[in-house]
Amino acid sequence: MFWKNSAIKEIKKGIKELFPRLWRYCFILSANTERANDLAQSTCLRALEKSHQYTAGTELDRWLFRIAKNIWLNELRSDAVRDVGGMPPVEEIDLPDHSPGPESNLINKEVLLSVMSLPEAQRIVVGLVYIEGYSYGEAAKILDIPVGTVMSRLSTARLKLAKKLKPHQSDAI
Amino acid sequence: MNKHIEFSDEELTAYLDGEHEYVRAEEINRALSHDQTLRARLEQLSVSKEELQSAFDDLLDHAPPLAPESIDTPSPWKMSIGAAAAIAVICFSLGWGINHLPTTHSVSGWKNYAAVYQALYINSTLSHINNTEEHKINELKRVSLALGKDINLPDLSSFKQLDYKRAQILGYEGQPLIQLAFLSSVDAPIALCIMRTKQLKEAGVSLSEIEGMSAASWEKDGYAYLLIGGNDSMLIKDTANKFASYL
Repeated sequence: MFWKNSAIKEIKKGIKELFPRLWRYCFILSANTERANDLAQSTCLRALEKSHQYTAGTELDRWLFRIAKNIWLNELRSDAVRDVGGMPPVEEIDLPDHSPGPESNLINKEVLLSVMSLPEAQRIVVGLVYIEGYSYGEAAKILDIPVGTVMSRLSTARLKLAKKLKPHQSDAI
Repeated sequence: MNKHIEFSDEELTAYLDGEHEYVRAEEINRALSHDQTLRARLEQLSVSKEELQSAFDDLLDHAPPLAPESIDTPSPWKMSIGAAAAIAVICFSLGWGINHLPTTHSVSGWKNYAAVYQALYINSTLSHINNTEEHKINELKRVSLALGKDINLPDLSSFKQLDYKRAQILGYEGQPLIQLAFLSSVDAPIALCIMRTKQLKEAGVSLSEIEGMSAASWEKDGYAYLLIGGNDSMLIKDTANKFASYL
């Protein structure tokens, strides 16, 4: 029981710390703030229900991200697609409010829209590798896909993003 | 003369990302010194990761707060199905029987834990569950064994506004805590939670609000019941009265 209790403790503590990142990932998955709220909450609930499958001291963030992806793809995505008759076009993506002001806000909004308008599969890989900072191998494990697929989705996404964002990119790599 | 080598977009992407395990990095470095086309292709693939991260870091501030009570609860509430069932089996095999199980916990304690757990339920938690009748019956048999009381599917299926979804054996202070979950057509999900008590006193249905949800409690024949979920107190009251009349 000790290891089980320590796993539950770690999950509860970890969820608290990771929740903003988890929610952001849920937003990247669902492209909608309300659905991101539902998905993040469902992920926490599922993690507590499945706490016996988690080994304390292993990568909790990756485990949570894997759960979120599974819930989205297997349970919530079809509801979302039914609700809006398909995934929303870019102009209808429900971005959180950005207060008008400095130019950097406008650039950030443009960058957000560019990423969020990528096809779902590319968007998710971009989210894991470029936003969350996972390696190709780690992203492949979270998504349960080969590394080659990660590479192919990233290169296609890079071509699109570079084309859209070129004018104000100076430190591109 | 320099030998011309073709690199795929995937390789160039991995090169830009520093994932050298998947790319011929040295060959790309050499080729870049003389191959303008290759330099142009790298340019076409270039995006600023800092700009991406900056834009998405802004989103972290938009994350809704995580309700502290949903996570900051002491741990004993959660127990795997196997562990709860094992405790029940051990108790019976030691000849304790239902009425000899230790009952040092306070009833109000388990209700609070059950309420905190229920507060995490949203319609999406249950809406995807479409178990067959046979699956539900088998699940209830397992639950009945752990609880020491028969719960039958017809007992849970006669409500117009409630769709019975699943049964779970949870644990509180080493004892099975049964959760029967319903999707409501008019409100948030509702759960009927049941625990054994040693006290054989009877208590009628009383309404309350726990964790911001409507709740009804009653005790009967050595069992304590909590019906909880949503904010429709009339639905909770009517449903609790019906359950109390035949469970």
